[in-house]
Formats: sequence, C-alpha cells, structure tokens
Amino acid sequence: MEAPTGVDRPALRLGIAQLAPRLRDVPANAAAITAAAAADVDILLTPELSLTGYDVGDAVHHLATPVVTGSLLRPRTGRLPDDEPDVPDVAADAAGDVVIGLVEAAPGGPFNTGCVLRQGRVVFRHRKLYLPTYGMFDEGRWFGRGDSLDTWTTPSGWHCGLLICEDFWHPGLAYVLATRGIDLLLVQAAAPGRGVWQGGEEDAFASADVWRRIARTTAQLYGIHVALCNRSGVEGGVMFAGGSLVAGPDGSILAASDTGTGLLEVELTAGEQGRARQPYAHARDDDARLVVRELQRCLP
Amino acid sequence: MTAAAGARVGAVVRAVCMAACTDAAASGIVITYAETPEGRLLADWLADAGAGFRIWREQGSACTVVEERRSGGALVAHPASKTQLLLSARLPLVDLLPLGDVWASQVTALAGSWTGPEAVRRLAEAAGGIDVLDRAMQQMVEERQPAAVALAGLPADVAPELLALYEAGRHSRLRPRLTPKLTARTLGIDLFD
Repeated sequence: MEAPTGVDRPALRLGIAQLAPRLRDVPANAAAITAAAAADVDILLTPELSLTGYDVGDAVHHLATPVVTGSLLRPRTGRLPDDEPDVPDVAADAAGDVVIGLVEAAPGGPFNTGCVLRQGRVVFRHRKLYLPTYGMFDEGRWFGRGDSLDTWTTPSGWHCGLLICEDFWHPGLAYVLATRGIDLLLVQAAAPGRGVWQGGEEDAFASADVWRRIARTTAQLYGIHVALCNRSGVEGGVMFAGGSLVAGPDGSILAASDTGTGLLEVELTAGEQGRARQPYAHARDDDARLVVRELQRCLP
Repeated sequence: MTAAAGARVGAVVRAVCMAACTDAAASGIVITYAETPEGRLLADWLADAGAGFRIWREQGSACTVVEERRSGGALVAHPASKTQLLLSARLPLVDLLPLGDVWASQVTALAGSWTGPEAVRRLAEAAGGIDVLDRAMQQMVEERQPAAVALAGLPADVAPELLALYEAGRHSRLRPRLTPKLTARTLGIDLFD
C-alpha cells in the first residue's frame, strides 16, 4: 500500500447532494443535479442513479445513455426519438467534478454507472460490480455487471475511488482502491430504510447504523476519507434512508444528514490523513502480495 | 413498542402516502373504516401531512361515498393490518394499504386494540392472543422458517386453520396494492407467497 501522498495537497471542498430523484424523470433530475452543482465545491457527489431514479425496471433500455470519455452527456429520457426533449448539459458550469449516477448504454449493459463530469464532460466512470438481486432488489435482471475497478485524480491532486451501494458491502473492493493509494473513497447509494421499528442509534432506520459502521471502519483502516451519498425520497412503497455522511481518516464522522434532501459541505485536508495514519503502521505494513497469494489458494 | 417507534413508522407511512398522491396527482386520501383502531391510527399518522393534502374519513367502505371521492381524484386507503391481509381470502380493492406492513399486535401496542374479520379474531383467541399469533406468523413470513417450525408453538388445531386462511389469500396477494415497506417482507415488494 502506498504511503500517504503529499500533505501539501490543497484542502478539498466536498459537497454531498442528498437528492430525491424522481423515477424515470430525467429532465427533472438533470435540473436538480445541475442546481446542486452550483455549490462552490471541488467534488459534488450525488446518489446512485441520480439521473433516472432507482427502480427503473424495463425502462432501463430506453434510459440508457452513452458515456464517452471527454464528451458531454446526452441523457436519454425514455421518450421516443422524435419526442426526446432537449435536456440541457448536466452540470456544465460546475466549478468542480460532479459525480452522477445513470444508466449507461454499452455492450454487455445497460450498466448501473457512476460517472464523473468535469465542466459537463465525462472524465471517469465506474460500473457497479455487485448487483443486488434478492428480496426487494432486482438489479441483476436489468443491469449488466461491471468488471473492473479504477481511480481518478482531481485537478487539485486528490486521488479518488468510486463504489456504488452494494459494492461497499464487499470490503475487497475498498481494499483494492486503498492499495491503489486513494485519498478519498466516494460511495453512491440508493439504500432503502430498513429496521424502522427498531430505529437506529442516530437515525430513523437501523440500517443507517450499518452504513455508518462500514464507512467509519473503512476510513480508519485505510486512513482515508470516506464520503457516502445515499438518496432520499420515496419510490412506490419504499422510503430511502438518506443519512449521507463523511467519515474522516480517524474514523470520526465529520458531517451527516438526516433522511431529508439537502446539501452537506465539508472541507477535507491531507493533514487529517497524515495525522490519522501516523500513530499506526497499517498502511505501511500492508502486504498486498501476501493477500493475493492467499486468495489464490482460496480459489478453485 | 415505544412512542418513538410509532412516530418513525408513522413518518414512513405518511411519506409513502404523500408520494403516492403526488405521483397520481391526487387531491388526497379517503380512509375507509376510519372508525376502527387501525383507521384512527392511520388518520393520526396522516394528520401532519401538511397543507394541500386532504384526508376524508369514512365509516366502513360505503361505495357511493368512496367512489364519489375517487372520481374526484382522491386515492382510497383501507387501514387493514398485515395480520388481517395475510389471513383474508381477498385483498381490499383500494389504492393504498398503508398499514399493510403493520401487524395487528403492533396496532394494539400503538392504538390500544385491533379489529379484523371474525375468523381472524377467533384464530387469535384460540392461539392465546394476537401477540402469539403474530409472532408465529412473523417467524413463518418474515424469518422464512418452515411452517411446521414457525407454528409449532400454537395449539394443535390453530396451525391448520391458520395455514388454510393463509393459503386462501395466495391468489389475491399476487396483485397487491401499494404498501409502505416497514418489515423484512412486504406485500407487493418482496413477499411472494
């Protein structure tokens, strides 16, 4: 695992837009993302499938939008081609990188994709790797599965990774990204509120506790910042839990939202990472080759 | 069961009902059987919905009144509990089942009592009370234990009657109504029996 990167990196202003996307209403969602992107931040994180809503069902094919690096997005709205409204460029005037969620059109897809826009142009994408297909979830029916994990760097030098919802419940992915030396792990989610009868320690839903624990643990283990953006609002009988948060590299919660919509703004510094990593040697001592060797022994 | 839990659940039910009204461009919600404990509980939960969200309370389900409201753009809600819905042969033909994921024992804890069809009330009494009946059903439906295990603690003549009532509604449950998700398995979302 790489040593902490330069502590002279400038602070990063992070915005988390806890939106409540309207199901299959791309023009309205694009407008909401663009409005949120007016915030003066270096990265604006929006929820999973923030452009389309979550439970898109069979409309997934009509909503699938090509994602071409370096190009502006041309979001599909699900209407017939002759009736396709002209959706203004998404977040084209944003000051920083804007992370949106969309249905990506591509061979093997459509994919549930997180996409980073810089002045409206695609600079990075992550295709969701683990598609929940159990209980109330049906993503394996509608989406193709991604097959790789990558990182990108902001203009100010912050090295970032992106995971989508269920991906975050597979700790091997965060491990791989940390081994790549990320400073900031961004997580987009559309997580329903669960355990409302029990309630959470600080939220309406018990499930919020689990997300908080995973975020804090991941942040502390790797000495990185972790930002989670979970959506708000309702689709059918399901209420999404919100509860977006930022965990510092010492595992503390730097900011958190309740269940409603809103914008969190937090300033992150490289110095926080240096201080959090200094008392320990986890990052320095981590032996990825050992892990790979032992994993290979686990595989058939 | 705490008042806080009731408030949290009420907030979810209210949010789902309001979203349904927005999606349907509905003028509000008609609560049928508003005179029951379930109806009163639902009315309490929807009371904070705010301006522009109308509630009509109707005794029973008087068809002419309800249809008049429906034709005026309202959604119709039946406040049946999950216990009642799972042990009835047919789901009510309404737009919303706001308490469809709230067990009768939870209604009792929040509203003081519960109502249901005579067959369900008799079954609950024979089981040793609604708490006992609901616990057995929760084990079967939400924890997915085999019926023989989940219902083993019930009196011998209760389990077959419960299964017969549950089986009788299977066909109707294939076409559920909008139900706010509150538990591990919810009608219309992830309860497929």
